[in-house]
Amino acid sequence: MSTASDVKKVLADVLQVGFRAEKWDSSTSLLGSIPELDSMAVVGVIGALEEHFGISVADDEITAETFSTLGSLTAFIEQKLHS
Amino acid sequence: MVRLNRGFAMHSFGRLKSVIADLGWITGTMFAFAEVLRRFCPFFSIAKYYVVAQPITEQRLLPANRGKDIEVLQIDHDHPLISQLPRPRDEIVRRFSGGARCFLATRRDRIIGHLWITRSPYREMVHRCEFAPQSPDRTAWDFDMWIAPDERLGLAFAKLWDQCNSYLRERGVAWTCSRVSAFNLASLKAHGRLGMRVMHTMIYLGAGSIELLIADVAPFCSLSFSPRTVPVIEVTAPAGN
Repeated sequence: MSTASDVKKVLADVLQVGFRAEKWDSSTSLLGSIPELDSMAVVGVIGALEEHFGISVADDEITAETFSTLGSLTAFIEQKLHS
Repeated sequence: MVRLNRGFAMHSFGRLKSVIADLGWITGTMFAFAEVLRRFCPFFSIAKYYVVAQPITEQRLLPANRGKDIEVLQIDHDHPLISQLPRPRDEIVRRFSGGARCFLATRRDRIIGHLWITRSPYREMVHRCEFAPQSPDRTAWDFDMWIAPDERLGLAFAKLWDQCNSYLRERGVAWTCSRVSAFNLASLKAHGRLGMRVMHTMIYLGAGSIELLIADVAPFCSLSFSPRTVPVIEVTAPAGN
């Protein structure tokens, strides 16, 4: 599986959005478009991404830019994997 | 041009369908009606709220390794940061003199969020109502949770909630209650994650300063002509917890 599909699966699992995730692609807006994704959910999403990819995310890396779209979140994870 | 208008209309219709699907037919239709009034006839208004209760638990929202640069302070009326609070001065004085407590989330002396709690009766000035917690030894009322726009994705909310939760738990409070707009899906979902229980439903019909409240709790139906005549709702938290 690609990083993008892994990120999508982790998001869908944590947010429990069910079949709605099937329509998501890299341009899908996350913040403001998915009501389940609020600041409380972000804590869970980050924890799940850290565990799934074996990475560590600092507090100041949790930004609106990172969570802007599924593509930007995937790019952030890929950058962490290669750093 | 016609195509643009049709596209806009289809987008709006699609969004409306989505909102109605999320909120349910009755509340979604009320929301659509409220939006039409707000845009085209703001003299009249319609609003729907839930009175909800969240359990005070030992469970923390934030893992211990997160939010270390955020400090939560319980402040008094003479704290130096009071002047930075994004609320009118008389409103702040009214809250403190009514016995409310203010929790501030700060990062490097900048206010990034606040949450107020009280165990005394609290009066909402927008869609007027006074909420009187019954059994104040085990019930609190929380209000005016605000997070700075650039921090809404961040950890401020969780840190504030955890600190208030600890404060209330240490004092034996079992539930904190609040009023939530039935039209605000994000807020409802956030409260849902806190274990929200819906206790009452309130509907407001407004015409200028006159407000008709219809609720499923006493006084059930109340007409308020000005802030001097405000309906009072006694808030009794669920048993247990």
